[in-house]
Amino acid sequence: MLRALSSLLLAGAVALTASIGCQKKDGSAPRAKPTEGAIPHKGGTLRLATYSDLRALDPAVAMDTESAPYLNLMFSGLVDYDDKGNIVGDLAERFERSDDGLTYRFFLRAGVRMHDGSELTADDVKRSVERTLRSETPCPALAFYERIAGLAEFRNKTTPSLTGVGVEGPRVVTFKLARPDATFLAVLALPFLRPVCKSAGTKYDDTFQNAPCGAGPFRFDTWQPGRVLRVRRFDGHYDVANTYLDAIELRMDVPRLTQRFMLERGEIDAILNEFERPGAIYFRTHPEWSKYLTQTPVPEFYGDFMNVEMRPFDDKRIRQAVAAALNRPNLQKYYEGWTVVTGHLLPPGIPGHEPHPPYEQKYDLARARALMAAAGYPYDAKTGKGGYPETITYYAGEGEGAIRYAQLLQQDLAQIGVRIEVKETSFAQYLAMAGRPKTTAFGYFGWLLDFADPSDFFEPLFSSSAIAEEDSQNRSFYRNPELDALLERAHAELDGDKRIVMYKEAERIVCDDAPGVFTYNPLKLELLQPWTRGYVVHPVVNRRFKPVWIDDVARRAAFALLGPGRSGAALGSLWRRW
Amino acid sequence: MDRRALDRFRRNRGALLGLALVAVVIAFSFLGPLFSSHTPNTPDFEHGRGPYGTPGAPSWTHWLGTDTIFRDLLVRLAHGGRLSLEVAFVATTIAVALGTAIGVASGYFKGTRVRVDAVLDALALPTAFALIGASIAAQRLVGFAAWLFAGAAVLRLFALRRTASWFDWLDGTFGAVVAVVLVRSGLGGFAGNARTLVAAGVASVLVRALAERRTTRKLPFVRVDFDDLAMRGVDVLLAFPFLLLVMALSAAIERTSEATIFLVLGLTAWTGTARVIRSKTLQIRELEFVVASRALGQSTPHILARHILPNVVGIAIVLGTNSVAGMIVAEAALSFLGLSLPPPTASWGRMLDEGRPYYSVAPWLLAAPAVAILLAVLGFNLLGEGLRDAFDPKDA
Repeated sequence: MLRALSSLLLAGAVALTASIGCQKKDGSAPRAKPTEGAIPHKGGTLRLATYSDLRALDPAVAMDTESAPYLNLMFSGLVDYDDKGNIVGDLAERFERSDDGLTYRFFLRAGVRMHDGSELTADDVKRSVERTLRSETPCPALAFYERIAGLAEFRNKTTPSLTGVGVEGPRVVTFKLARPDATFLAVLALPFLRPVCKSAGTKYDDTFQNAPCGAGPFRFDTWQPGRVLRVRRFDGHYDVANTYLDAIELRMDVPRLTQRFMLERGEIDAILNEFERPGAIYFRTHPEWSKYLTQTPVPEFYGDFMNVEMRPFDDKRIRQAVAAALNRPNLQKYYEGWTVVTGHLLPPGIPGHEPHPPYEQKYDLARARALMAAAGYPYDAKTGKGGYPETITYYAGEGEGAIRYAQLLQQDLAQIGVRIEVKETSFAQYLAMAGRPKTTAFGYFGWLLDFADPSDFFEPLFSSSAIAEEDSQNRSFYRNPELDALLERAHAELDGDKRIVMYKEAERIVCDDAPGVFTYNPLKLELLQPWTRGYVVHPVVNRRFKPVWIDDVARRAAFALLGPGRSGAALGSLWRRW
Repeated sequence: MDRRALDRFRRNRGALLGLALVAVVIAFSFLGPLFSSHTPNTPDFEHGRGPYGTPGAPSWTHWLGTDTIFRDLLVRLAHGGRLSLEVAFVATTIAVALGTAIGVASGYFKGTRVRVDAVLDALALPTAFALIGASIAAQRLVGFAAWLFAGAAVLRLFALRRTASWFDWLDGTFGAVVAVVLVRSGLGGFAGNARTLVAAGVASVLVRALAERRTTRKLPFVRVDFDDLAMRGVDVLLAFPFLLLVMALSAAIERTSEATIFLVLGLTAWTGTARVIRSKTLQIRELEFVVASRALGQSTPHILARHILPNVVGIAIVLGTNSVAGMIVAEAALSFLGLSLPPPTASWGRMLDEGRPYYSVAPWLLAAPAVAILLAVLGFNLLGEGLRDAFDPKDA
C-alpha cells in the first residue's frame, strides 16, 4: 500500500512540475494583432465580465457604478457629455438658459424613437422626471434635483404635477429652478431623469427593470441577476450610424482570476479594472499585453466611513484617532504602483484637488493614542490592555484586495486599542446594509464621480440632505449645519475661483471632523483585446461602450486555426503547444 | 490495546509513518511558533516585501517567505495547523461521542418498541429550545428552530392512534397550531419573535402536561421499534451530502466562532459512526457473555457500561482517527470559502484561498498550505488504517 501511495505522490509531483513548466513555456500572448487600417464597422458582440452584480436597471433608482454604463446605453437623456467632457444636447437638439440662470429650455430632436417604437414627446420627458422624483420612488439621488421649482410641493402632494417642469409644445420642455444651480446640466446628464417608455407608467414599480425600455442606442435583451446582462443595438436610434456593436454581453459573478484566464483564451474582449494583483503585474510587464493596457488616474477615492450615529463613532475624538492611526506610509508601500495613498477627499482630476493640503489626515500614532485616552479609552501598547472594549464589525468589500486592506486596517487600529472584526460583503449586500441608518458602524466607502465638480463629492457623501432611510449615500449619517450652509453657498456660486476656496474649506472640515478615513485614489487599469477598438477612457463617464467596435478580421484571426468558441480555443492552444 | 494488537501495529510501516506524520504536524503546529520571533498577524513592510508589492520570497528572515500582506508564512502555517487540529479533534470528539451513544442505544434496543411521541419530545423539545436559545444569542436560525419544533408537533399528530381520546386530539392539534404560528413568526424576521417563540413553546408544553395527566388510562400513541426510529433519522441526515450540509449551516450562522465550527462539524458528522457502532453492538449483544449477564439479571446500564462499550471503543477510536482527517479537510473547505473564522485568523483553507491568485508569482503561497493539508490528512488516514488493522486483523 505504501508503495502504491508513494508512486501516487510521485506522479502528482511530476504532474505539478509539468503543468508549471508548461505554464512558463506557453505564456499567453495576445491571440491576434489589430488589423492595419481597419475602419469602424458594424457587427460583433462585446463580451465583458465583472466579479460584481448589478443591483438595479431602473434609471430612477439605480446608482451603483456597475449598472451605470448599461443604463447609459439603454436610456439616452436630454443632454450628454461629448468626448472632451463638455455637456452637449443628446435627445435635445439644442437647449438655452435664461439670463438669471433659472430657466432651461430644451428642444427635442424630431423623430426620436423609443424602444417600443413610439415617438418621444415632451410629455414623456415630464412623465419620466415626475416618476423619478415622486415621493414614493426610492431615488437615491434626490439631493441632485432639489433645486427644481415646485419639487417639495410635488413630493408632499400639494400639487398633482411637478410645476418646475413645463411642456411648451410636443417637443419643447422647460425646467425652472428655484435657485441658481451651477451643476444643473451636469446632474441632468445623469441617468436618473432620462426618459422611459410608457410601459414604465407614471409611478415607480420594481418590475420595470425586468424589461427596461428607453430611448438609448442599445435596447434591453436579457438580464439574469448574478449571471448575465445582454443589450443589443437599437436600430431606431437617431445616432445608429455611429453605433457599431450588435450587442453587449456582461457576465456577472466572474472572479478576477477567471477573467484573466478568459481574456487569455479570448473569451472576453476586455478586463475593465478588475485585476487581481499578480495578474496586473503580469500584464504590466508582458511585452505584448502591455501595449493594450491603459493606466489612468481616476477621479475616485476610497476610504472607510464611520457612522456618526453609532457607538463609538458618535465621539469625534475616536473618529479622529482612527483617521490618524491608519499607517499611510506603510499602506503606500503595499499599494506601490497601484494606487495613490491620500489623506483627503478630493481626488486628482477634480477642480480644487491638491496632492497634500495642510489639513489632510496624517498618520500620527502618538496623537491617535492621545485622542483615544481623551475619549476615555486609553490603550496600553505594552500590555495590549485598554482601548475600546467592544469589537466593531467592519464591512469590507468583496474580493481579495478588500480583505487584505481590511486586515492592514485591522492591524493599525489594534495599535490604538480599536479592535475590528472583518466581514466580507457582496456589493449588493453592502449597498443594502450601509445605506440604512444605525445599521453599519464601520465599513469601506468610495466615490466615483458623476460629474467633475467638487460638489459631487461633498453633497452626496457628507451633506445632511443625502441622509435617507434606505440607500442613504451619506454612509456616515453625518450632519453638520455649518458644512451644509457652506456647500449650499458654493453650489449656487457661479464664480469658479470663489467656489474652489469654499470647497477647500469644506474639505478642511470633513478631514478634521472625520466622518470617514480618506485612504487612497486608485489608478484605473483597463486591458483590451487587440480587436476591441474605439474604446477611450472618458474624462467623466465611466466605461463608455457606445463608440466601441470589433475588429472582425483580427478577432477571426485569433481563432482561425480551429474555429471560434471554447473548444476551438482549447484545441488551438493544444496545437500551439505541439 | 492488547499486546498482539500493539505488535501488529509496530510491524505495519504505513501505520508508523502515519504516526510519525501526525507527530510532526502536531509538534510543528503547537511548538513551532515558540521558536519564531514573528507573530502571525503582523505585516513586515521592511523585509517581507517583494517587487511591485508582491509577497516576499523565502529568505533568512522569513524562511517560507511572506504572504500577500507581508506576514510570515511559516508562523501562519503553524497557527493554521493549530486551528485545524483543534477543530478536527474537538469536532471528532463530539461526533464520535454522539455517534457511539446513538449507535449503542440503537443497536442494543433494537426490538424494543417505544412511544413515538416520547422520543419526539425527548429529542425535539430540548433541541428546539437549545436552538431558540442559541438563536437569541446569534440572532439567526430562529426560523430553523421554529421549523424543527413545528415538524415535531405535526409528526406527533400522525403518531396518535385512531382510538385516542378527544383530549389527545385537542392537545395534538393545539401543538400543531402553535407550531404553525411559530414558523410564521420565526420566518417573519428576528426582532421580538424570540420572546413569542419561548412563550408559545412553554404554553404548548403546559397543555401537553395537562393532557398527559388526563390520559394515563390508555396508550394513545403509536409505538415503533427504537432502532427503526433512530436509523431512519440517520438515513435522513445521511441523505444530505456532508460538506454541503456543513457549508449551508456555516453560511446560515451570522457570527462564526471556533465553538460554532466545532458544533457544526461535530453535530453533522456523527451519523456514519452511529451506523458502524450500531452494527457492532448488534453483534455483541447476541454474544454469550452478554446473554448470560442479562440472564443473571444485571441491569441494562451495567451491561452497556461493562460489556458493550468496552467492545466498541476500539472501533470508535479507529473511526475517530479517520474522522480527524475528514474534519481537517472540512475545516479547510469551510475557510477556503470564507465560512470559517474571519480574518486575520490563519487557517489552511484561507491561506490556500489567499495564495490562489498568486500561483504564478509566488507559488509557495499555495504550496505551503496544500502540502500541510496533504501531510496531515495522509498522516491521520494512515494512522487510522494502521489502528484498524491492529484492532481487527480479520479485515486487513
